[in-house]
Amino acid sequence: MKESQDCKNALDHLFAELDLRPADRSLIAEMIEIYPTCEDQLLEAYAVWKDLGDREVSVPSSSMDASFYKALNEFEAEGSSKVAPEAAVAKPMWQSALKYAAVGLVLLLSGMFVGRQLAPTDNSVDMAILEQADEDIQINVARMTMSRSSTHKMEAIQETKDMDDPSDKIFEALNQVLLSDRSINVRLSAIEAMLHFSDDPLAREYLIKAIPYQESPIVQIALADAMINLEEK
Amino acid sequence: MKHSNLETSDLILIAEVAAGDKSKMGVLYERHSRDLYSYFMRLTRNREKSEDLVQNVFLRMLKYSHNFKGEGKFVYWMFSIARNAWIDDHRRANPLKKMKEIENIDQKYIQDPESLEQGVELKERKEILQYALSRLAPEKKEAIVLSRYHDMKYQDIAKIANCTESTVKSRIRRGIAELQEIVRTIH
Repeated sequence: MKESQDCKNALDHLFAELDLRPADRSLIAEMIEIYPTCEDQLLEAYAVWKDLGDREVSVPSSSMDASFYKALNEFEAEGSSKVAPEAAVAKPMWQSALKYAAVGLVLLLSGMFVGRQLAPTDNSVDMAILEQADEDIQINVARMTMSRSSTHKMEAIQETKDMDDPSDKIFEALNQVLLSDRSINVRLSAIEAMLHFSDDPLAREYLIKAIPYQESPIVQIALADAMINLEEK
Repeated sequence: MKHSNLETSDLILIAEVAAGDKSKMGVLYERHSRDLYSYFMRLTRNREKSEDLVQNVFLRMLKYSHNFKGEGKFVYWMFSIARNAWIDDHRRANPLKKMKEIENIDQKYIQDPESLEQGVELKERKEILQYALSRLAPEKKEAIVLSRYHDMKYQDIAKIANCTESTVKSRIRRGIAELQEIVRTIH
């Protein structure tokens, strides 16, 4: 593009203004008034700027979110196994004592919780689900409800979304995850999966019934959004 | 520097991540991943690569959250990391393959009259401009994308790109001039 020195200044001025105010007709009219001999160059540059289009591009695939949460879980798992030695040294003794007491209490409560989860009655519920489902569904249900890794559970939950017509057993497993899994991310995935099948009355029923059992604000918000979605449908 | 509520909340969240609560990165991801994806899509025009780069940025932020000193907005730090991720990806790419890809695009848009006609008919000017944007030098493309699509001020782009404000303005002006040239060539 050939520019005279005057028009180079005019374009410099235009782009300085574009940093300060929105690109609209009044801006270009002002610029043309100041630099009447550069009207063509100013209009052309302005048109290109405007025609670059809107902010939005395509939407990322759902696998982007799944990959991120999988990586986040792995990162959290790695992080929790590491201890920062300097942090322990720097804190006063009474703080450490309180910390240990708190950790002890959490461990005790976790133990009680895990104990309840592993109680024969709960396992028998899982087994009852398994007995009636076909092999693929059995594997999926087992990964959702029995896997120790949140990542594996989330993968299994994501896979349910590829099913054409998931059986009631799948919804029961998703419901079990939603009501009892410790990981917020796993519970959020279960909500997402059930919402994916919100045309199914059982999925809707489980979503609605799960509301009073959720203590996490993030899960509560996700369920509230799900309710709005259901209402719109 | 004054921060909006959302910006303050971003700063609190990243501080919590740095303090060890890595799950808070999930909230930042929900807030900013789409914006970041859009940034990479404008730069690469490749969906798969853009998704990989988004993940790469969030993992880098998880790893280096302690490096964020709370000076300036969180999103500027995020875009600085995004920029480095993009540059690293660029460096890793096979230059020969890149050249081949560019040649193929040129063939499609410039030399094949049928494709050209279809291209012009399809989305006309805006489509061509997006293609032209992808052909700009990285630093010009980056300045235009951050200013035009992410509403960033030149001084903030300058911090992200490690250059002066006037360099940013010059890159945008020259970039727009080159876009005009490419559009003219295609028409």
